[in-house]
Amino acid sequence: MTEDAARVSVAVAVPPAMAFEIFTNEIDRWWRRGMRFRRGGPRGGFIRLEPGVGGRLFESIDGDAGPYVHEVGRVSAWEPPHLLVFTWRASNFAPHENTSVEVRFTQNGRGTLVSVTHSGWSSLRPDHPARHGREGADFYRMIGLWWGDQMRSLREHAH
Amino acid sequence: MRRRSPLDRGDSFAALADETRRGAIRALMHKPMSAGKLARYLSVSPQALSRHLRVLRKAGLVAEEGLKEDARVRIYRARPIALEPVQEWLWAIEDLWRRQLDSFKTYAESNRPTRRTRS
Repeated sequence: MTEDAARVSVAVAVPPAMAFEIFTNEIDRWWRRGMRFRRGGPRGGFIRLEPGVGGRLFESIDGDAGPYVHEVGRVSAWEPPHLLVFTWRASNFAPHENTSVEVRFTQNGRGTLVSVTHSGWSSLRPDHPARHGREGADFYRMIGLWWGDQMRSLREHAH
Repeated sequence: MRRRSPLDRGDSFAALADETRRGAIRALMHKPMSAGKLARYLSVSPQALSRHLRVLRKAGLVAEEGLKEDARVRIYRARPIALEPVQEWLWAIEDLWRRQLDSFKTYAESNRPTRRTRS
């Protein structure tokens, strides 16, 4: 357990194997739309997570100059139905800047507890350009979570 | 409408980006102390700590005051109130992930027969 992580979990009424399958193979169906969640903006790109270690998490976007792909990260652990880990990088991350998303699927009665731990935010430099940048999806997704993680440890100590 | 970012609100975020400074705040929240004591506690040089304290002070995250018995002894204490914008921001971020997982739950729990037979 590090102080370097944002954590959120949810209980779903499907067994782990199905939760894992839906989380990965059907990611585009549930991944939220809109600027805060997809680069494609209101039109929204298509999100895909390729199965297996090394698989890409990417968004396929219909740009004005034709379709293009924005890679978010790569799968670093693929252990259905219990564990999925993928890297998460913004286009404006420096080479050494990397975050990691761990998703655990734990049997919870007849359902599953899905826990997301997004860690590694301290690898981002404090003067990251996005801090001064636009308020679009990147801003929220990358920097927001980075700060969120930094703050979590403080919040724990503040009360 | 432009959503206002807490990052516009000053230097507290940059001040908190450093592990030593976070450690300093944690320690001072627990107990106000002198710079010398804090430096020993954090195992950093007095010079380094002095730089960190300057950043924290400018951000309003710590305050310096004289000891009651001897005003020449400077004591540092944390100012949790300065963390409020920061906590607000954390809640906003947690909200993003929560919304993703809520969306996942809604989708996962609907149309299950359809999903099982999808092509």
